[in-house]
Amino acid sequence: MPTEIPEYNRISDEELIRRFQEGDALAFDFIVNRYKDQLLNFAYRFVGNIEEAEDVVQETFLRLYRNRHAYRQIAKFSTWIYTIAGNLSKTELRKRKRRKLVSISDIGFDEKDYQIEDQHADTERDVDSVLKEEVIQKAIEELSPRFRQIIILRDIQELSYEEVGKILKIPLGTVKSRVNRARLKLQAKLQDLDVKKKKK
Amino acid sequence: MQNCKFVTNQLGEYLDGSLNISEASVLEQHLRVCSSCREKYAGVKQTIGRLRTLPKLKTSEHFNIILKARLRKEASTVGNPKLFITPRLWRLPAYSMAALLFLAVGIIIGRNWNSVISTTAMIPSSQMQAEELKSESQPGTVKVPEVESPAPVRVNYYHAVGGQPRSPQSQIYYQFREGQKSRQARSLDNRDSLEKVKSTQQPINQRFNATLVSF
Repeated sequence: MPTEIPEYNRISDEELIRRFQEGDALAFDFIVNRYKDQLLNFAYRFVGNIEEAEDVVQETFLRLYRNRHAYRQIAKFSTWIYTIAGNLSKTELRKRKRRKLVSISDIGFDEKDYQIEDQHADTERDVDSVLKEEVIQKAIEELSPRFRQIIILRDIQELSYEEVGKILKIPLGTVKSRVNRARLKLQAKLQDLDVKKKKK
Repeated sequence: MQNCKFVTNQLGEYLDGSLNISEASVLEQHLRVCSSCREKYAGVKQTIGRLRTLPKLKTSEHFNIILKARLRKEASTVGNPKLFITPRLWRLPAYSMAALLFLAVGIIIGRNWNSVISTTAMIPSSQMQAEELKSESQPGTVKVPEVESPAPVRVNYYHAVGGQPRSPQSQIYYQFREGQKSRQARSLDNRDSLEKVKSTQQPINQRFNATLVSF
């Protein structure tokens, strides 16, 4: 898929989807490249399994392809695609619950195919930071889906309150109070997990 | 305590920098004096920092290839007109055909029902009747065939207990029916009655056979 065509790199998401709706396949490729990693992070933090998360992202783009004409320019494209990915992630969680395959111990970064972007270019991520990351992921997964989703959108994806409100279809006041409650809950869980870890 | 609740509720907005100045100053004043709220504030701030510095994952190398393959499959199925009919819609003609067939069978059975019932009910008795007449028909004796009359059915309606007519009208009718029976018996001899039975039996058999053929 091409990534180095300056014209396409400069245009907005909304313009890309408009072109795609008119039959420009290249525009779709650019949308995929622009969103695939963002959506993978969102889905992974939500479902806690990298393979399932990638399936969710694949399915999101398939839905986008199938329902491209359902998108209207009145909405921001990012909120639309996050809504699709969020719904698919919830469905994935429900499926897993049904299969009774929930296992916290499965979470890990041992998959060779997935590349972790190095935040500190000169140093390798040490074991301690991986452990910290696992603790955070575990704490996120202990939250209920509605708190989990809102904290991922706000504090990991760093979307604005307005965008979060549009994705979740809830008013701004509700977004703010729910984000606050989710943070307090997560903080309490992290504190517990840290205490347990220190005891060990 | 009221201020603690206020801080807890507004902490998120304060950390995001979206709290208005007057509320922010109230919150800050409280944080200076309340160690518990200060601890909570520090904890939430640290949590947000930890979330925002989580490593960013990237999709696998084969992500685009897999997606392209799935899209190609999707495009080929979309081009196939058969898939525009969903499975449920596809089943609709089959269901309607089955319903029509069922209806047609029902109509045929309904039309022939009376003849089937009457034929199956009458044939054994009429055959038996014919055989009886054949075996018992000897010269000099007259066998009177039983003539079916509505009188025995009506007895329950207009006869009093004990078998006698209850009203004058019913007495007249009773006498009329009895007279009719005896006239019929006298007018028929043994051979004629046999012929009559045969002639009535034949069309019924033919009709029964025709019904069987139609099935």
